[in-house]
Amino acid sequence: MSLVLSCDQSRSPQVPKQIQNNETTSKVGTGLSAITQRDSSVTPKIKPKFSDVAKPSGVAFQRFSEIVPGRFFLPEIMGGGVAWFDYDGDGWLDLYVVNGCRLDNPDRSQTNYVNRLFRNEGNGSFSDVTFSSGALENGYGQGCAVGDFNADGFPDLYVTNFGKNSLLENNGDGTFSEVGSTAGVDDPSWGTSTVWLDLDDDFDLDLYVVNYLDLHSGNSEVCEYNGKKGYCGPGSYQAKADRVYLNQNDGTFIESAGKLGIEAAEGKGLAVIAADFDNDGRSEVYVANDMAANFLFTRTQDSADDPRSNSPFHNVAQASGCAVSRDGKNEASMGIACADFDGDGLIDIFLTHYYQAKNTLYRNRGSLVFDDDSRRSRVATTSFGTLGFGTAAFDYDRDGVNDLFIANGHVLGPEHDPFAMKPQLLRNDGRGRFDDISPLAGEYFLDHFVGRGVATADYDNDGDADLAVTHLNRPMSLLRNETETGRHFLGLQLKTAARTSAVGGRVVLTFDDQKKVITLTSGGSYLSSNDSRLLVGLGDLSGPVDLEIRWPSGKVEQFQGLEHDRYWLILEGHQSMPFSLSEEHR
Amino acid sequence: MKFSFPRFNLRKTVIRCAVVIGLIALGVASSVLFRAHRGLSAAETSVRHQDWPQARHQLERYLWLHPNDSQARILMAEALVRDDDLTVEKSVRPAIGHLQQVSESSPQFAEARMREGRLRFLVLLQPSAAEKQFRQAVAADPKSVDANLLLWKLLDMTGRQSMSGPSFWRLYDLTPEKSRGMRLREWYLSEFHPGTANSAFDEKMGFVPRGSASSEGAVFKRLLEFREQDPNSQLTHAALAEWFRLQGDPQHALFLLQQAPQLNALSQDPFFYATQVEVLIDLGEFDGAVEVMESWPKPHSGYSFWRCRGIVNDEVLKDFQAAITDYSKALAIPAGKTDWPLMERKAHCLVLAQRKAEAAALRKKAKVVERLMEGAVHQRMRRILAELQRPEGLLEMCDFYHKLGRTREVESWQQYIRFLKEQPPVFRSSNL
Repeated sequence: MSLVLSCDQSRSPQVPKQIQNNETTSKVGTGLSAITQRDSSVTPKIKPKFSDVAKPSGVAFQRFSEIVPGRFFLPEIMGGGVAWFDYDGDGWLDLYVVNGCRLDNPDRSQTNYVNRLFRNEGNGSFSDVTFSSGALENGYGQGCAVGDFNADGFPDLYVTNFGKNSLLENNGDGTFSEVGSTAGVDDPSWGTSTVWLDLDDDFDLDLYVVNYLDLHSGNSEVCEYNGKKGYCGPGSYQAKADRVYLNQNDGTFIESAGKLGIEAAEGKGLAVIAADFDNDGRSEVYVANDMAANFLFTRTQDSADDPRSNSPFHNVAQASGCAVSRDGKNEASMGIACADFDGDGLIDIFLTHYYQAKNTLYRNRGSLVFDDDSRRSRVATTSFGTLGFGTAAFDYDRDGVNDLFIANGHVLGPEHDPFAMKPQLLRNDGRGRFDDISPLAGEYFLDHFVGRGVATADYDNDGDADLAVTHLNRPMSLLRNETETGRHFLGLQLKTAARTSAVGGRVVLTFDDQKKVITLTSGGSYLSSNDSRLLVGLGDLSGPVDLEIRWPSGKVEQFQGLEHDRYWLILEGHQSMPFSLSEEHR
Repeated sequence: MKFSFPRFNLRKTVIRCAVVIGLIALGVASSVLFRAHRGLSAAETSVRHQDWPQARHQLERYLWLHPNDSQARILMAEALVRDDDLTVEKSVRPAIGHLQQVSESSPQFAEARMREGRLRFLVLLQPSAAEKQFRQAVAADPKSVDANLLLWKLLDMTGRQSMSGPSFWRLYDLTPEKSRGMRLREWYLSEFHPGTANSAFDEKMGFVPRGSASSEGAVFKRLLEFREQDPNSQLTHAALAEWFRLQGDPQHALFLLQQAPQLNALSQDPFFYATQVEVLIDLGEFDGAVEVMESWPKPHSGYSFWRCRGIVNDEVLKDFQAAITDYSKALAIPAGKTDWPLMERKAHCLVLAQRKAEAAALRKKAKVVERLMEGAVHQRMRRILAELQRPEGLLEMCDFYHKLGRTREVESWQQYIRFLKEQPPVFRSSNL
């Protein structure tokens, strides 16, 4: 989120009516004659359909952010995250939502404002099990990340707060215990997004915690924009360094950012993702920073600025071309979505940015070289009028290419216009060019929200991705994907031999003479955690699917003739097995 | 008694009458001519006394007899324009009419064009028409201080600071040595504080209240008004479109460009082309951008051309080698020396062309320039420039421009510092 523009630069002055006409009148002048205003209602072959089913499903949640008029204390407008995970192992994804509390005098014993856990009953409804599960996290919550840190088969939760962070250990009996302090991960900085991945190759999950600003009530400032007071942005405060916790495999962690070479003070980070960007079988970590250069930490030695350095990781974002925009400018990065958008087998990076600035798509050109392709891909032209936060790359119509969902909403405060904004659904044409098809996607997309956290998951196990979205000042939404495609899918749940997620690995699918490479990721969006299962749209295929999995351990396994339209559970070193829930629950 | 009539000599009578009439006519004519001639000097006196109606009355009579007198036409224009009791319709437009009658062969041609341009620019808010006049004035008299000054300001105030170097440096060369520091300060402000550099002009044109500084809002108001008052120019549409583009609204910029008139090829403005290319690329309309680039009017040169062609080669055509060449040409031009984003673009192309060491070196240079563009640096520069009589502080200006690689500015500041040091303390302590 960027509020660093000086007051008179932050907004256009009032545009007189005579030039507000958005119709294209005469099309004259060389070059321009060929251009018509891009029709915002591009009609795709398959019309998207999303319905907000939060209320009928029993997901009743509105974040308490404690927005005090006139205070303009930045955490108030940051919103909160959401996570999908199957905490009770019943095959249905449950929903965890992060709440705020009173900011001036947080009472860690209060139970009025707590994060909420909604259990998926498997019939389209959810029940609030917050209190019975013991997941009573009651700090001023920001983000949450799912990871089985003790490899007991039950996913745990790390929660970032404006204040001490928490680690909720899943006891495996439907309850959680808060172990942040004993585990040594209760960082008191202003944490935002988090990712679980194996950073030291010891086959357990470590933790990368993104921190934002060194802000507290004592140094909070109020800024003025066009004569009106508003929240000051990251330019007014110092950064807080990110934290990296290495899992000691005994229930504790040791902070090791310096040891690993992951130390970069000027971060001001809001989002993080782990993925193998250079296909060497080992994950990089990409951090989206707000009006500061983004980070790309890699273990690939050739890419290091200083090859003599002994640190395992190096930040190569600048040299790789994914730290700043194409013309070298810092951007206000808020959310991340990574996928192979252009079908070249390499995973690309999409970032959401500030109002009157473009969102960015970094096209991966291989060997850790990226190209800011925002304008060609048209993620720029669809974003100048929005301010994006949470985002998800998902295939809404099962055509085999990833589309984008973006939650939008401004940050200056309700006194400033615009504040609430329409969310967006961008359809990928398969070549990495996007069209905004939001107006076709359902009522939700016609309304204005101050959108923040976004997480995608196939919560009803019907083979298409649904969305959970949090907002400021309005209840959260559960967007059920009701798009009728008639197309096929394949679902995969992959577990390494060490029973951790397979981030860093790759999956190659072969079907109907087509080959599709999928890089496995962890993290992304904004403050949120997506369904860890892999859901692949197969289009109109007719036959079975062959699979090759390159595990993070380096092991390569092949699976032949997988039946489509169901989920498969694949454990490293074992035969694939149909995920029992798929058939019987659909 | 013999009565006789006097002899009537018709011939003589006619001759006498003719002589008398001729004498009378001559007298009248001489009187009229004399009075008319006196009218010019009387009008000059009336102008000096600011008696505008009287001056006009005298000049009207004079011009009836001397319609080709350029000096009188210019004086008449002044007597019209300076009379506050007349409306714009009754003063400026007739004044322009008089100025337009000053022919190209007249020694006052440059003066007339400058004056017409000034009226069109400052009063009628028609920068495009004014620019044409200023350029004619400068062509006729390259040493016209006013024409060069106004042309520079016009370019600056229509978002074309990068094109204003030649007119500024002509003006600088015409500036007395003791005032050159002030001139260099104006040049600095126009480049690094474009929103506030033209407060005096904005005030004169009514875009900011008296005594207020310009702001981004005033710039917007100015460009909007230019477009309103000069709708048949591609320039005014492009200037407003570029403003919207820089504010992050390329869609609206496109709308404005599409409303611009299509003129014949000879009068097409390179700035209009540059704005089109950048807007179309922002919108992802790459085919359109290539089409515009291909139809760019000649000459194919200058910062805007190389910059745009580089962007098209880089971002659209992915011809990174060609882009490197184009970017290099743009960066070698003075306006390119501060364009650190373009350096970053070139560095990125160097990476993609596998020239990583060169890319790293250029990125370092870009970082230096970027830091020189930071607010804190310019706050300090402004403080230094508030004391133009202190050579010690001004050395920092030399250093600043030296880091940017702007030799002309470095040399000019150095000359001014030398001049200051040669002056007695009285001069140096005077308020410059």
